[in-house]
Amino acid sequence: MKLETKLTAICGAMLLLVAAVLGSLMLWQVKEQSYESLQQRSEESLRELASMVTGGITSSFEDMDPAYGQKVYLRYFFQNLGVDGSALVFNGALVSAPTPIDPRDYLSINLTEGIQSASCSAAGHWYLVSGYAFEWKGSLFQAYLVSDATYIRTQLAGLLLRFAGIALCVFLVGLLCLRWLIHRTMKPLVQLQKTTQDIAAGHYSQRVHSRSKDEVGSLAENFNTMAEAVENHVQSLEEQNARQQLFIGSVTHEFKTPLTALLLNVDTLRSVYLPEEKQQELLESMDDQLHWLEQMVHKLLKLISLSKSAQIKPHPVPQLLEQVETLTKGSMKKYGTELVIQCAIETLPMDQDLLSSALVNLVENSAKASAPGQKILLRAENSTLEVADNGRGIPAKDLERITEPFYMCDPSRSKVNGGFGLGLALVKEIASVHRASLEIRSQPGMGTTVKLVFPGNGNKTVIQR
Amino acid sequence: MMSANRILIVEDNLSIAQTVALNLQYAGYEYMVFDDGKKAAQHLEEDHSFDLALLDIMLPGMDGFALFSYMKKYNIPVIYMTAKTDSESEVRCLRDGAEDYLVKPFEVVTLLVRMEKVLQRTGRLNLVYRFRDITLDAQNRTVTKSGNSMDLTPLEFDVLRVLMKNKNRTVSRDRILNEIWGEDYFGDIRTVDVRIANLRKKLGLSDEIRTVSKAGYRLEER
Repeated sequence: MKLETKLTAICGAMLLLVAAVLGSLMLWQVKEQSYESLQQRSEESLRELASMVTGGITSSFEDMDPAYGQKVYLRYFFQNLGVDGSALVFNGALVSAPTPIDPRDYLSINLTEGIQSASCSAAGHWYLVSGYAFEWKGSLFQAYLVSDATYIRTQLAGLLLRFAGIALCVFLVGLLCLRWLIHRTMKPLVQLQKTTQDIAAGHYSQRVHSRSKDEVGSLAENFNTMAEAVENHVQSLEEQNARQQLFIGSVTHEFKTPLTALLLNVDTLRSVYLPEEKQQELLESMDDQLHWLEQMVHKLLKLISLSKSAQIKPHPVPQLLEQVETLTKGSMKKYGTELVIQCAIETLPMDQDLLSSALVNLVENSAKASAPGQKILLRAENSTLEVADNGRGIPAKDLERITEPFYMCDPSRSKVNGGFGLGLALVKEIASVHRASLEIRSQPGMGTTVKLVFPGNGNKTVIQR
Repeated sequence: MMSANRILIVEDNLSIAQTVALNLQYAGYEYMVFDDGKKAAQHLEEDHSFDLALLDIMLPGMDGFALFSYMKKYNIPVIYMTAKTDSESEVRCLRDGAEDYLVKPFEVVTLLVRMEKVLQRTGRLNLVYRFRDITLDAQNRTVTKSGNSMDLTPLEFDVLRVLMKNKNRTVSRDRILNEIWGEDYFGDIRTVDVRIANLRKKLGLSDEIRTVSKAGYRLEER
C-alpha cells in the first residue's frame, strides 16, 4: 500500500475514534444532566408533596380508625392533591391510585435515608422513581413519585442521530483535507522517488523541486546536492573518458600514417623491380618515417609517464632560466630571434628537467612564430613563469584545443616543421604535475603570452584572448 | 584504342603518396598527386578527366569528405585510404557513394586489386596492356608482337595477362592461378611453369620474364 494511503487511513481512523469518544462523552453528559434535573424536580415535588401531606391532613385524623377510616381519608385527601404519578403508602399499604408501575418494586425506602431515586424501565418506557419516607404523628408515610423519563431517551436518540450526521460530514471533509495535506507533504517525497528512479536510469541532470523548509525539504535539498556531486563526478569521468578516447584515437591515427608508409615501401621494395636510385629513395623515405616514429614514441612515453617520474624539490629559478637559455641558443640563431630573461624569483618547487623542457618548448614555439629580429621575453616573477612574444599569434578557433595531444593549427605546415602536435600537451601535463596553471593569451598578429602560474593562484587551465 | 587509366591521388603523407604513385606507374596507370585537399579541388575545376580518385580523409585544406562532392560532380569513382577505423567513418564513406574504403595500413596488392575492381565495375578499366612491342588486348583476347598476331593458348594468354598487369612486380605462382581461376582454385602450380616456358619461347621473353627464387615470376622492363 502506498504511504500516502496508509497515512490517510491512519489519520482517518484517529479522526473517527476521536469523534466517537467525544460524541459518547457528550451524549453521556447530556443524559446525566437531563436525569439530574429530572431527579431534582422530582425531589422538589416530593418534598412539597410531603409537606402538603403533613400540613394538610385534618387534626381529627388520629381519632380515625387506623385500619379503615384513616386509609379512606388518606386516599380521598391524596386524590385531591392531584399530583401526577404520585403514590402514597401508609403503614405499608398503598392508599393512592395506582401509578403506571408500582414504585415499591423498584425502590425500597426507609426513614433514615431521606429522598431516594432510581431509574427503571417497563413496557418500553423509562421511569425515574423517587421516594421519601417520613413519620407523622406516629405513623410511617412513604411518598413516591414516578416520572416518565422516556423523553430523555428519545431526545438522546435524536441528538445521537444529529451528532452522527454532523460527525460524518466533518469526518468526510476532514478526510479530504487530510488527504490533500498529506499529498502536499508527500509531494517532495514522491518527486524524490521519481527522481531517484530517473537518476538510476542514467538521467543524472534530474533534480527535486521542493520549496518546503521541513525535513522533507531538507532531504530534497541534500538529495540535490548529492545528485549534483554524482552528476559532476560522472561528467568528469565521461570527459576524462572522452579525452582518453580522443587521445587513443589520435595516437592510433598518428602511428598509422608512418606505419602505412613503411609497409607500402617494404612491400614495394620486396615485390617490385626497381632501379637502384628508386630503391635508395624508398629506403631514405623509410628511414625518415622510422625516425619520426621513434621520436613520437619517445615523446608519448614522456607524456604518459610524466606524473610518475617527476621529482619536485626547491630549485633556484635563475639557474633554470640559464639552462633554458643555453638549450634554446640554437633555435634563437636559426630563427634570428633574441631571448630576453628577467628573473625576480629565488626558488620554486620544481622538477628541473621537466620544467626546463616545458620552457624550452614554449620558447621554441615563440621563436617559430616570431619574425627574425623580434624579441622573446622569458620572465619569472610572482610565482609565475612567463614566455611572451610579439609573433603571429594563435587564431581564436585554435586556442581552446591547442593543448590537446596531436592538435595542430595547420597540419601541413606543422608537419613540414617537424612538429608532432605534442609540445603544448606536454607543457600542460608538466604544469599539472607542478600543480601550476597554464594560461595562454594570444591575439593573431600581436603575439602570444604563455604563463605557468604556480600554486597560490589556483590550478586551472585558463585560455583567454 | 583505350589509353592508360588516370588516377588522382590526394594524400598528405608524402612517403605514402610517393610509394603509391610509384606502384601505379609500374602498373601502367597515369597519376597526379596532391597533398592538400583545396589544391586538388582547384585543379579539378580545370582538369577532371580522372578514372578514379584515391582520397585520404584527414587532409589539410579540405578533408576527404568535402572533396567527395567534387568527385561526384565530375563523376569520378572514389576509393578512400584512411587511418580512421571507426565504423562511423566507413559507413559515411560508403553511404555517400564511395566505391571502396581501404584502412591504413594496407598492402599495395590490395590497393591494386580494389582499384581494378572499381575500374571494371564502372566500365573504365583499360583492357589493353603494353610491354615493349607486345600489346595484349584483354577484351578481344588478342596478343600482337610488333603488329603481328601471336598464337597463344587460352591459359598462356591468361598467364601473360597477369604478368603484364603486374609489370615489374613479382607475382607468385599461387597468385597467377588465383587471378585466372579465382581464390578457391587449388591447381598444380607447375602448370604455371609450363606456360611461362612457352611464353618465353613464343614471345622471345626469356630474359624479361625472370624467375624470382621462392617468390614467383616477374616481367621486368629494364
